[in-house]
Amino acid sequence: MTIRNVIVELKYTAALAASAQAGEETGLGMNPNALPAIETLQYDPTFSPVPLPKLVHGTHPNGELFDSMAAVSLDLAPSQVTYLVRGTIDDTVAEAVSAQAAGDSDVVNIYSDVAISPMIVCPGSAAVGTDLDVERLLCTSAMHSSGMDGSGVLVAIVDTGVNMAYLNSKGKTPTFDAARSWAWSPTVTPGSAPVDHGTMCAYDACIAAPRCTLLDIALLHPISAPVGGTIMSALLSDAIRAYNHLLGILTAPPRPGATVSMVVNNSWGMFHTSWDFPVGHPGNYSDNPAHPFNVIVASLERAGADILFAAGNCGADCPDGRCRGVTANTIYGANSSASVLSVAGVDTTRARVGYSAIGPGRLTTQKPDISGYTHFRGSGVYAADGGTSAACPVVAGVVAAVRSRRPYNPTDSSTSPAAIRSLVTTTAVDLGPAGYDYSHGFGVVDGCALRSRLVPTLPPIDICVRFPILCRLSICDRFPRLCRPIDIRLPPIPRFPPIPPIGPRPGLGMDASVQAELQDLASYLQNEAEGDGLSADEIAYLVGFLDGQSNAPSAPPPPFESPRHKRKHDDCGC
Amino acid sequence: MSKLLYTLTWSGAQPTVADIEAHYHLDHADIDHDYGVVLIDPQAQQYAVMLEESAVERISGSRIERDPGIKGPYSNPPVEPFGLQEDER
Repeated sequence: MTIRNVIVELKYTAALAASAQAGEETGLGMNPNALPAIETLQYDPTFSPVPLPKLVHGTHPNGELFDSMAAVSLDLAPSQVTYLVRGTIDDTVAEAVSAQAAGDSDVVNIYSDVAISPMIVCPGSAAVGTDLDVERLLCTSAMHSSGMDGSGVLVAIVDTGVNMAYLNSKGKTPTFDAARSWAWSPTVTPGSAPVDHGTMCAYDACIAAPRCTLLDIALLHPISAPVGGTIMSALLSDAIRAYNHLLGILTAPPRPGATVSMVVNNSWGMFHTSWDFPVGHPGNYSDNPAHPFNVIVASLERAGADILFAAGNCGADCPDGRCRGVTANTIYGANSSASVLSVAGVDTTRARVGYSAIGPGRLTTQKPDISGYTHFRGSGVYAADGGTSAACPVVAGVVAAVRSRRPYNPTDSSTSPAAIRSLVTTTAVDLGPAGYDYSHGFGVVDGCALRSRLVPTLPPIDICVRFPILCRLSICDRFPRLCRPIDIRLPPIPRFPPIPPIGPRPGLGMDASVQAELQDLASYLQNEAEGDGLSADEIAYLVGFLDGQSNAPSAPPPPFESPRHKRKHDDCGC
Repeated sequence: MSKLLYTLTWSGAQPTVADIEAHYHLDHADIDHDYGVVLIDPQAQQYAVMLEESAVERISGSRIERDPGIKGPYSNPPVEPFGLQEDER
């Protein structure tokens, strides 16, 4: 028996009207026994009837010259309203069911209830959102205000070349390091490439990392395309040379004060196994970690580079033509290396784009690792910054922003590329089935969560609540910073000498509760104040206050009151 | 003639093309001088070179083939951008 979902339109009855009203208020369905019995039709008892007003076609004063729909009105009279319910029928007797329904005075009609799903973004689809949406989704404002902006980080765009003048004209003004850039031919000037794919990638990396230092690694160059025009291409042996250049940068003795953090974006790869030696051949690339390009990718990662590869555009819904219809196991070679972040694509509604390649990967099963935003209006190079080509640099920019706060240090394992990959994937917004999946990886990159992880908001400090005695001194008038939440980390301050225990001098008769509070304050200043971000001035003042208390001859000192902000003694100005 | 991608291990300082030619008794034209000798793994001291296909055929059974440090030929496929195809043409 084949089941078909159907919508049944029923004529008005008081029971239907009451059930529709109740359903609107409570979300409950209705009793199927109260509905007309039709052969094989099983009503959905969870679905409350939906009223459908009658359309009344009027006569337009200007006759047929105008759209007749302009004269339509709705008749909401109960007797004119029909009701929609839903259910299933046996499709093999659909005609008989329809005939029976047509003869039933309570049934208007039976319609097919087809499944619907969101439109999948494919090549040629209009852009979904803009780079401003990507900025919002990544919390770039908060990232940048926290110093997560790519400062001090090299971002290598291994691609068709970057046009810096175009980038600048679009408001992206990263530093450009021409001296450490590279091109496939000595005749090519880095930073001056025709506006093309590489410039799009650079633009998208700058969304999260506007203050990075760009390296133009111009690898891909025009060759004749099989059918008309030209496409940008390279041989993998050229990529080995490009990576050797990057390896040289990372292994060279660092210049004084120079950065050692490098993020490498690769929005390219192989499209079909026919381009490669067969799997199992010792010289194969796609499945062979010993292939020299896979070897040098691993070497560059060991030297400290964060390497990102696009997962590819052979997704099952609308694969690139170069995939030749192959949509399984298409994350080839280095794009699926354990040493890289492999990036899938989602649009700005966080829906997977139909062309984004689906795992598993060839070299590493659990690929892609993460999703990035793509198919948005951004650089202006194309109608949409699309493909996993755009998703990859969006994530690369986020990684560069992370590196501004956590630069690579070969002696600190928490800054290793593996640690950064873990940080980026564990903070991602999970998409699709719970946990990791082959369509989205661990989810879409989340700049907001990364910012929270790297720049935690410190708990509010309210010394006046913790140490009420200070209210008598209007200390918060004098040091208002003490009484407001501090959400930035201050540079370390020099340690003060240990504060001697505070206690009443013999005969002074200090109240025990005050004594306890002062001892608590001394302990706080010694152990916690610096961590809370109190400035040296503030700590020095409080130390002085404690000294004054411990040496006070008898009564507490007269309250300090700001000349501008005199307050009641029970109001410390917080 | 087409060129083939090989790797070799070489202890000591980074070798030059001349070093490789001399060590493996290659003619000047057997190795791609523009490509050079490219370090791919500093730990394993492994390098990539491009050899002429004709040279590989000629030296079959020779020292270069018997050296366990020499591996190849490796696939050298084209790679292309992962942009949207209609944008790339």
